[in-house]
Amino acid sequence: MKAPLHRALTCLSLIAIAALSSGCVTTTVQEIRQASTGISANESVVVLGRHNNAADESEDDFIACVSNNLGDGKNGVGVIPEAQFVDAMFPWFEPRTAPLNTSDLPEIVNQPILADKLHSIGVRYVIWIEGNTHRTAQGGMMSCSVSVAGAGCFGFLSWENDSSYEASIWDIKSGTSVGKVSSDANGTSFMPAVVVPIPFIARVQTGACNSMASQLRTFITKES
Amino acid sequence: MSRRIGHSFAPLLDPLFMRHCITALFVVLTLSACVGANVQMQGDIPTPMVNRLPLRVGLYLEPALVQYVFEEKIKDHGDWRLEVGPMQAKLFQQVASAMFIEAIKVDSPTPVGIELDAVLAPSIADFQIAIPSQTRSEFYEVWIKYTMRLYDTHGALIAEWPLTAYGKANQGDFGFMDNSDTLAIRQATMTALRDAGAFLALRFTTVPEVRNWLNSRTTPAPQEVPQ
Repeated sequence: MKAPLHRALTCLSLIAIAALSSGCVTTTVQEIRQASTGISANESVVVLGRHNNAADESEDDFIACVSNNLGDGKNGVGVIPEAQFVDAMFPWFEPRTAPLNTSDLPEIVNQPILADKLHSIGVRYVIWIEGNTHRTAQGGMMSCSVSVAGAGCFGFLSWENDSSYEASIWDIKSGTSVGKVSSDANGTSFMPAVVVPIPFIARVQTGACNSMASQLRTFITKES
Repeated sequence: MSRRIGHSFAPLLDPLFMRHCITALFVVLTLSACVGANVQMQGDIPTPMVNRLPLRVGLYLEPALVQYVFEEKIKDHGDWRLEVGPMQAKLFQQVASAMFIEAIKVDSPTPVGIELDAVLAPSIADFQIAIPSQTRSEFYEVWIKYTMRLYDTHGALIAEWPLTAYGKANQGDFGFMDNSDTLAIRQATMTALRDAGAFLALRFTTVPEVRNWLNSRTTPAPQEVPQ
């Protein structure tokens, strides 16, 4: 009886791996350019989450994802981690003191100690991210039971997630907003269960992150 | 039954073992649902990037501030205990050191034998927390209200003003681990402490009584000096 059990487990594992690695996500990216951009080798960017408005506050892992993706690969740009930048500029980029508009930037960049700091850490662009991922619908039913004879589940669950993020790119050098990139994604995940639940996860947030990071990299490095 | 599934699973299917497992799982889930948090605040406060005022200021941190512990029992969510005192001491020392050319820790609002321009004395007036199940939001929140006092060298009150601070942390950033409450409320508290430091450093000279005192000093009105 061992061999059939092993075969069944191997088969289920393969299905699970296939399901976990697959995704059913639709992503839309839009860009508004207000000024030309470009970045030199000794300059870097920082990706910051807006924390002044709870409704639009982005998840920490989304900010980290965009930040990491921007810096990855041979076309990656220099990225300063959010925490490192906020600490270095304390107390000017705290949730209640951070500049809300580019019109607030001169107060910061015109102060010699802050200008020196920005120059020393080499930040050229500050990218502000707002938005988040929400579950917009869910349905189905699943019941699981455990007994001395074993455990198992039966049923079907599905849920839909929707991501909506917008990045505003500020050029510290010119003290202006150079553009915006938005990334919207949605996808439906489902989990059928006949004894073993098999999740088919739509990685909506990851899709939005990858699209946004890719578009931001192009936006910043493309000198136009 | 165990023979049918395989010898290696036999111990797992022992009814007594299963009963213990299910009981243990139930106990763990029940306890984790109402365990609360016990937080000892740790970490560093960055040095504020502000221009120093040319003042020698004494910093009086009263015992109630340095030893402050917040405790609250939240119905169905256990006991919440936050040891904030030592971190508050670190916060005010760090911020005062960056705000003034010299900040000296003193043991009373009227220190003897030290040449100072003023003494800054923060005290804690209120501390409140809220957890997501209370507010039906996704956030752990912390509010702190300090009363800031500035005394002259004779112990006369120059200015007294409230310093309010707020911090929040999104529960979604902390997963579903047992210690997610602890991690989230710690981050919310740290954000509130940094908020207090930020507003003290940036708004000190905008307090009307402080501004008047600075302008009325016999020496020319102090010019802020870069760090």
